[in-house]
Amino acid sequence: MARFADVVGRYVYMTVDEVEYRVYYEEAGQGIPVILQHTAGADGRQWRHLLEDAEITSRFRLIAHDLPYHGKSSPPVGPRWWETEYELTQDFFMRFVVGLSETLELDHPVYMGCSMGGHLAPDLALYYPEEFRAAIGLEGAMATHGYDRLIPWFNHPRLGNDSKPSQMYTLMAPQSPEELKRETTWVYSQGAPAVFKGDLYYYGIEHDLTGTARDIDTSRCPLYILSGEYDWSAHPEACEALVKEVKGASYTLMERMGHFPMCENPTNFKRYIMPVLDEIESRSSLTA
Amino acid sequence: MLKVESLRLTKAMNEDPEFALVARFWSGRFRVGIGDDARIVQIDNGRVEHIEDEPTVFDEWDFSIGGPSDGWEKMLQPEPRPFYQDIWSAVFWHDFTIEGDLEQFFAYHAAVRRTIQLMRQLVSV
Repeated sequence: MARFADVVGRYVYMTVDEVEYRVYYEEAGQGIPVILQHTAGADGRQWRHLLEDAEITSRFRLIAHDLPYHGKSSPPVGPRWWETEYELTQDFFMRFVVGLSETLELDHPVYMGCSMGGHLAPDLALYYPEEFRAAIGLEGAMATHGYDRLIPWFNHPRLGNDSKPSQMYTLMAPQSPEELKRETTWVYSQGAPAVFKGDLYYYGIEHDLTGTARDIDTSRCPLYILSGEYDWSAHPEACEALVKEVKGASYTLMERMGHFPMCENPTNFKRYIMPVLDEIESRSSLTA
Repeated sequence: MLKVESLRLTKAMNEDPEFALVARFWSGRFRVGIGDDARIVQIDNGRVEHIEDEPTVFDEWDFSIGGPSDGWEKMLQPEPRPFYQDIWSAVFWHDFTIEGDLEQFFAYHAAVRRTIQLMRQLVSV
């Protein structure tokens, strides 16, 4: 008798800026919908541990998509994308996530993302507060500048597929299980060469809430920020700086954790994320 | 004083299956600066040929990684404190440096990272 995971993957067609995308996503569970956004240059596999956690999927409908150009969401048919340098912009990123929610007819989902997805949480809370019942940013920082000269090395014709994943390994905590750290770097070894660098345009250059973070209204969209103490990129100080600017936002420091909590150490991550999910569920039942 | 015996490190690197994979095709020389002390590791086609314990100004290298002695002691702990987990994170957050041929460093970062992990296993403080 085969052992199946209670996770279903399928494709949905959706249009952004008159371009149709064939978007792959996996989902599991029932209850409050949660959109799960992967990190730069990666894909939805990073959420597989949550998708198979019955304690969570018994109460939440988890949806983990691959952003266009990532994972199984191939580049769109039509645009001559090979003649243009791939670059993820904040405007497209936000409208894609909002569009996915509309396409799947989700009722005010929770948004949770990590790294560039974590940075998107406060951006969505600021610009699309009515669309989400809460935004959770893992490694969500005020800004992550200072790596402009490093970013081009992530798409260098003379560097192979060992270079970028190896650097991603250093973002993880020494205490996280070795096999899961290796799986996390494995996903990084599979992204198209230009994509990680292009995603970092949003993560490292465009995203910056300095001066606007204070405009986030957590009474309209509650904001939760969690950061790993070994994350040298979206480091705890930068995450805490964001929370200090946002009245009513919640901050959690995840000890013995790095940049990829949901996939480098899902057991440790669960200790930190369950109170957040519990609180969101309680708020939802009060307003239902 | 932090000590990693060069002969033991050479043996560990050359017998390590992961190092053999990630150092494939690598021929080059990198300097490891530990406070005022330094070594130069010479790699030939993925194998450590020699570690020079007393390099002079006449010994060339392609890239150099380095940091203060007390920083290396923190880096080589079994569970290092935040941002001492690797030379790369320590460059951003602690007093570590990378100099020289960055392309070679990035190409073989996985091998350098593995070298530091092996040093962690061999170190005596």
